[in-house]
Amino acid sequence: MHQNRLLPFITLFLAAGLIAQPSARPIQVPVEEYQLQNGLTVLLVPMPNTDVMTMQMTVRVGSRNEVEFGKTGFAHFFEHMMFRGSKHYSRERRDEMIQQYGADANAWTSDDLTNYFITATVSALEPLLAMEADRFINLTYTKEDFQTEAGAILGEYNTGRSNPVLTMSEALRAEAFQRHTYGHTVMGYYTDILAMPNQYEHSLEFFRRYYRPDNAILTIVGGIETAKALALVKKYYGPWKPGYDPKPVPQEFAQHESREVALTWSTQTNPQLWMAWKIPAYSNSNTIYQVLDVLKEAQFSQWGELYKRLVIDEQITRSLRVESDRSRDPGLFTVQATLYDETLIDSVRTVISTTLSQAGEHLTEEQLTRIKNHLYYAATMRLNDPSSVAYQLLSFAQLTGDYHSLQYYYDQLEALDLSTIRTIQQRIFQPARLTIVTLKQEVHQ
Amino acid sequence: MRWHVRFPRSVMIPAALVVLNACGTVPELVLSPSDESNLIDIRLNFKVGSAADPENQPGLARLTLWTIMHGGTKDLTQEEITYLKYPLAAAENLFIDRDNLVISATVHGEKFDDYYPLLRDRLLRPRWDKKDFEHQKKQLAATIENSLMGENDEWFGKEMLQWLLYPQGHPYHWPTVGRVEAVENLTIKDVEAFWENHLGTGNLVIGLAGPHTPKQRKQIEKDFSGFHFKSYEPTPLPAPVELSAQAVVLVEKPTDAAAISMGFPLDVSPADPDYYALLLFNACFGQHRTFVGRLMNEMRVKRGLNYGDYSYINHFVQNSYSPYPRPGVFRRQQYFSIWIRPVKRENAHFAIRQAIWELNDVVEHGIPEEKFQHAKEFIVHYAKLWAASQTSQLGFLVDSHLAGIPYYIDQIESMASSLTREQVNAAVQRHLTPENLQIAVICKDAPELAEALRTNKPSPIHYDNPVSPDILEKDQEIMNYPLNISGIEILAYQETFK
Repeated sequence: MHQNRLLPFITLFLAAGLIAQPSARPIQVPVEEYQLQNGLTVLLVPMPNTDVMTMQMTVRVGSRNEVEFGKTGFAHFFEHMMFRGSKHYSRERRDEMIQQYGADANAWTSDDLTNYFITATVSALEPLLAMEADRFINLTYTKEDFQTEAGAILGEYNTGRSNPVLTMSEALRAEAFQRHTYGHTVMGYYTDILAMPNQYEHSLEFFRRYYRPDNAILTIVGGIETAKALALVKKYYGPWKPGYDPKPVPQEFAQHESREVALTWSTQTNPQLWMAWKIPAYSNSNTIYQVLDVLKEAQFSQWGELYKRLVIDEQITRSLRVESDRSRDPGLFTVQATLYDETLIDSVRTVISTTLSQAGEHLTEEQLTRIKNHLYYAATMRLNDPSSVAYQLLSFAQLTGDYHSLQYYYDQLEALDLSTIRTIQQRIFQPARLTIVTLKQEVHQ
Repeated sequence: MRWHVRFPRSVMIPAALVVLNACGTVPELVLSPSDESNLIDIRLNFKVGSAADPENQPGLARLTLWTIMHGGTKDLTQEEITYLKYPLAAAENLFIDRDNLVISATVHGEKFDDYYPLLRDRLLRPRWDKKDFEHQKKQLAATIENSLMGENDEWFGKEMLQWLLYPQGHPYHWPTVGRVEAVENLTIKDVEAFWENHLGTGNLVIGLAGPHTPKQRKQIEKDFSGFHFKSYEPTPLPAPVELSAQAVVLVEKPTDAAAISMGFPLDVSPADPDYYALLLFNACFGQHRTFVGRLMNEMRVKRGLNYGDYSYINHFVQNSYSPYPRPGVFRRQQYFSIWIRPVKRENAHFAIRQAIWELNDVVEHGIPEEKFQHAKEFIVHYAKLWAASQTSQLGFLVDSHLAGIPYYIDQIESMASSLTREQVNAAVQRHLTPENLQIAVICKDAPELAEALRTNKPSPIHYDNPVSPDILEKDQEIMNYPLNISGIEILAYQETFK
């Protein structure tokens, strides 16, 4: 009934690689992009020969937006509340429909986004789209539902509690970010989780501010007819009212020297050493992330210099991993080393920092070409089912608001040379960007 | 160079061509040719797993596969293999279970001829480098001691359940990772002997999917023909223990939440029509990581007890991050299980009681008509999502071959569609025995829980937030629900898989 208000704002049909300059190696995903009048970005990708489709609604709100004191973990908590029913679809009706169409429906929250997905056979497109749209437009839940769901959040927190990784993440973030909201995990502080049942009023405010079409991207991938899918999107999401009204996210203070936190653990565990360097926010206009991804391969893949030395040759490290954030605000490049012997923590730390500070100098042209090939092959291999294609698109689109970032990333990777890598490596691996967290087994007297 | 990504087929799978070799000197082949994908999947499924580990050497099958696949060949060192494999970006995964060792690899079609010899030669001509072996052994011991016993109570609970269901002496007793001391005592001669005696053409099924050519197929057949050829008899399994009561193992560990798994042996294979009746039952009782099951709704959604509550009619491993089953874990003997994700310690007794109460109630009263219809629609559609990628399709094709059934995903549709509510409820009554649930709990203050269980002490649930009167009324019944526990054992967590 609101169709007259819903004219497509942009209509494109192109392979991502064919915009602007033709790419040397295009990521060949046929995306149709639209924007509804209410600001909702819609990405449609038809895949032949499948009768599976996935719909993913990415709301650009995450733990990054938890700026109020005592409200950490709220974006994730709110994600749970989206499964408690809406005006035209009670929770029971929703569960019935998911059963009826055999759908896989769930969601996840990160620092920067909350992603709701529903995957099913394509014949269920319209009824499921109507059901999904209703909760974004007409969400309803009682105070009692809200409080009961807080118990499930505590339960989710408990699933990870036996693993020291959660405790280490909490300590690392709190030390590295003293003002910015990346200072807490997506789960939030335990004390805030316990207090969640009292935040009912805040939840209404949170929905009003952030759950708006002008802060969201809808991606539909699979055996769809795009014209039909678009018409349905307009019909059901058209009435969603714009009004994105974010609270400002505080910027982090400048860091001047390295920081360190030492933890102990009461049950059986290996000693751990995490080293995290601050890195800039994601943007299409610089190549830091490509450089870090190349160095990650050159140092931490199975043939990588550090991996080979610490894990294979000297066998003093049980595992060696890296997490390199691609985030909307400055994040972390975190090396996670699990050791066998805690007395070696200091020497492993010296090896890692020394090697990374020279990582670009150690890299050869031949290795760089091999890494580029690997990253490209690996990326295209991931485009093998509707959910993976959707994930690739939305993970870039949510960062910049533009799915073409996916192609820009690979174009810049292709153009990367050794001198750029060396310049960036020198800039990033500085003590003034570093936070260290160690964990040792508790000594029982 | 221009890249063209063509999407693979999904769901509408071409009929698999299964080549069974009469003389048995070449491996069995399961083929799913398709030129619509540019990826080739190869799956090597040995019909042997940790059930073949000698009683005093649990972990041997896993360590053998790790040493081979993370090692070198007669011609190339581990380092050289890694270097050559890297630019091909092949996705290589190892799945190790009680009755199967699976190597699954996905690679771009144009790179297959570069990749395949690196895979083949590790298996047929392993290097047996002492350093590679020692590295894998150290990793495996740390996995048991720290990853399993130390850091992951949910996994720990599931392994303790199987430890309880399959008593010592049963080849399924120990986890596939083994025991710490047993692993530390393994030698390179042990893994070499396991490779020679247990991996060979006689128990190998090879799956191939994607745009492979007849020439490639013939080469594979030729290469694996006669590999350690001898007829292979799997380790015999004793009949499942006849249960007549519930039993409990409590693992004492200083952990804030309690991880709970419970189950009983259930020997209904996918070749049995009752399997599909139970699959349908499970879709409305405890479908993994969905909100459609009764357990999830009663325990998490209504009571906020924990993060999730699910049930399974066979051994279940999640496929990567999806909630779907992962192929490659087909077993000769199966079990029914319930997984209660960690609950606050003070609610552990109530949670155990509630899960059993719910199961007992559905066995006694059956599934109502409306729920039955929903579950039927659900499972027929939902199963199609499990095989959305070519890799999963091939996995289910090979599993179907092992189980002696048509393509599993199609089989679910054809078998489940024709089931009646009466058939499902009858199968539930025939096979599910809540009175015999074996229970494993990882928690602190185990003696106190043991005493409460032994004496059937009332176990009120501790809510942090108000719930409705009808829930409180049912809680009264559950907190006094008598269990039928015949034995309780308490173990220190460090001792279990030491």
